[in-house]
Amino acid sequence: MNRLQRDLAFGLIASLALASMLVYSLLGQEERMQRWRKSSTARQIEAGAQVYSNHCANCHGSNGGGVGELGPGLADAHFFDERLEEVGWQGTLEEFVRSTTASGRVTATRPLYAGDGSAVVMSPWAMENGGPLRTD
Amino acid sequence: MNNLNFTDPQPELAEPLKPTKPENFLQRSVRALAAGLSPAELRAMINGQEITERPNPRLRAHVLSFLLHIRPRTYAQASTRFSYTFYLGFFTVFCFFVELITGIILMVYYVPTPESAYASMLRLMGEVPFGELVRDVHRLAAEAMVVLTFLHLLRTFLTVAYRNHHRFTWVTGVALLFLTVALTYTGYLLPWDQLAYWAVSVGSGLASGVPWLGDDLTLIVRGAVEVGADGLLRFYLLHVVLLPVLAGAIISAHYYRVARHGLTLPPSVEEGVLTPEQRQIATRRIPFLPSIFTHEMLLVLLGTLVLFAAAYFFYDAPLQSHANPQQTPQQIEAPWFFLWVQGLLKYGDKTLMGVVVPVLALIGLAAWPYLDRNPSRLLRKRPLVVAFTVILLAGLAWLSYVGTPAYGIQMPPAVQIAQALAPEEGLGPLRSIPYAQLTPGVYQPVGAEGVARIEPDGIALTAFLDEYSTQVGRFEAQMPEAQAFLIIEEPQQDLKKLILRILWSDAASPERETFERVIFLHRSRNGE
Repeated sequence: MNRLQRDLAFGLIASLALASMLVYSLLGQEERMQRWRKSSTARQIEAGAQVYSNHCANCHGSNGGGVGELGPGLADAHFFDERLEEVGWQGTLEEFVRSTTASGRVTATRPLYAGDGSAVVMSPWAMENGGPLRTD
Repeated sequence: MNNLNFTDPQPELAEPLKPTKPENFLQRSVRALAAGLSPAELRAMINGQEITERPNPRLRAHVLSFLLHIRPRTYAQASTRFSYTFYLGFFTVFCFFVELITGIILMVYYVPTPESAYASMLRLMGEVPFGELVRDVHRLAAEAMVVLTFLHLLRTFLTVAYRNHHRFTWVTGVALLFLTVALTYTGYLLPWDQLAYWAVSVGSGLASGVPWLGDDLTLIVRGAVEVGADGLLRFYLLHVVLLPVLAGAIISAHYYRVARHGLTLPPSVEEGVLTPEQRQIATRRIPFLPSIFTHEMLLVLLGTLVLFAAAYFFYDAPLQSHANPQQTPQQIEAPWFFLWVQGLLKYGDKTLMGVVVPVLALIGLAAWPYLDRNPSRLLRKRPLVVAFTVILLAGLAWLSYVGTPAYGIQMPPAVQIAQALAPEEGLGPLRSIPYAQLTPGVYQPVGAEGVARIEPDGIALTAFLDEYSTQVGRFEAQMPEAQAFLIIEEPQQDLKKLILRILWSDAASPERETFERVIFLHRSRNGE
C-alpha cells in the first residue's frame, strides 16, 4: 500500500467515524433539546424566585401571603380570581403582573393599602423606569 | 523556488485538450469536475502509477482549476515534513473555515440586540437540532485558532522562516494573530451573558488609557458611554463582516507570499551537514497532485472528527445568566488570551501597562525580521534568541496567572467560602447535591458542639457538609468561634430554598458578624 492509498484508507475510516458520531448525535437531539428546555425553565424559575426574595418578599411575604397593610397577598384565591375585575384590567393576569411590576403603582386600589398618600404605593421596578429589573 | 511563475515555463499546459480517443459523457464529466483529470488518470494516481497522457495532467490541473492555481505545483520534500511545520498553518486556516461555516449557521438564529440576544442563544440550544453542537464547535475552534496561530508564529520564529522575501510574510502573520484575537474577542460579547458583558466592559475600558484619544476611542468601540445596544451591534458587525473580510484578505496575501516565494526548508537541511543522498531526498520535488492533496484532505477529515468529537463529548461552551449591568460579578475574568494583559494591569496604570506595553510588544514582534542580524537559522547558533523566547513564554505564563481573579485580590473569607460552595454562576458543590437528598431542615456542620444536630440524609449532602466544614476551617484565624448553617426550606413544589449562613466573632465589634447567601434550586435544573 503506497502513501496515497494509506491516506485514502485512513480518510475512509475517519469519514465513517465522523458519520457515525453525527448519526449518534442526531438520534439523541430530541432528548437533549428537551432536557435543555427543562433545565432552562428551571433556571428561570430559580432566577424569578431570587428576584422575588430580594425585592418583593419584604412587602408581599416570603411565600406570597402578603404582609399586613404593607402589601397584599399574591398567592391567594382573591388575587387569581377577583383581582383583574377589581381593577378593571382587560388583559391576562400575566400582563397585569408584568405591567404593575414594571410601572409601579401610584395609588392603591384597595383602602387597606392606601398608605399615607404622600408617596407612591409601589415604586416601578423596570430598568427603563428607574428600577433594577430587566423587562425580560 | 518560484512556484507561481506568471510567465509559465510550460505554456502547453494551457492548450485545449485533444484526447487521443473519443470520450463518453461520464469521462467528460469527470474531466470537467476534476480539473481536467480523466478517470484513467485518477486511477493511475491512486495506484501510484505514472501519468497517462501528455502534457502532464497533474500539472495541467493547476492551470485549469481556480482553486488549484493558487497552490504550488510542487513542494520540496523536507518542507512538507510534520516535524518541521506540525501542520500549524494548515490547521489555522482549517479552523478559519470551520468558523466561517459554523458562524453562518449561527447567524441564522442569533439576534444582535440586548433584548433578544440571550433569548436567541436559549432558542438555539433548546429548539434547534445540533444547535448546541454547532455553538460548541464554533467556540472551541475559535479558541483553537488563537492557540494554533500563536504556535504557528512561534514555530516560524524559532526556525527563522522569516528571512529574505518572507520578512513581510511574517508581518502579515502578526497582523493575522491580532485579527484572530480580535475576532475571538468580538465574538465573546455576543451571547450577552454576565461573562461576556463584564469581560468586554472591562476590556473595552482599556481604550480610555490611550493618551488624548482615550475617551473618544472608548465611545467609538462601545457606541455609548457604557456597553449596550450600540456596542453589541458594533461588536456583531465587526465579528461577522469587517474582521472576517480583513482576515480573508490578509490570509490570501499571506498565503500568496508563501506560495510565490516558496516554502522554506528546515534549518537542518539548509545549514546542516547532510550526505548527498540525504540532500537529494530532502530537496526532491513532490507534485501537489496526488500525494499532498489527498494528505490535506485526510487532515481536514481528521481535524473535523477531532473538533466535533471534542465539542460533543468534552466541551460545553459557557452560558452564564443574562447580562445585568446592575449586578457586578464577584470575580470578573478576562478571556484566557487576555489574562496576561489583566496581569500587566495589576503591576501598573492603564495607559502604560494596558496600552503602551502591549502595542510596543506587537510592533516589536512585527519588526523582528528586520532587526534579526544572526545569519544562522540553527537554534544552537542562536542561544540569545532561545533564552529570550524562554523568558518571554515564562513571562506570558506568569502574567496570565497574575491576571486570574484569585491573584492579589482577596475577597472576605465568608464570601470566599460561599463562592467555593455555591458560586454565583455554575453548579458548585451545593447545587450538585441530588434534589431528593435536600431534606428540609437546619444543618450545622460547624460550631454545633453541645447542640442536637439533624443528621443529613444522603451521601452527597453528608459530603457537602464535610466540605462546608473544611472551607470554614480554612479561615479559623479570620473567623474565630465560627458557626456555619445550611438551612433548607421548600417554599413551593419542586423548588427549594438553600441558605448558607455563617456567624463569627469580631474583636472590633461586640456583635457577632453574620454572612448569608440564599440560592434557589429547582428539581429540573439538571434537565430531569
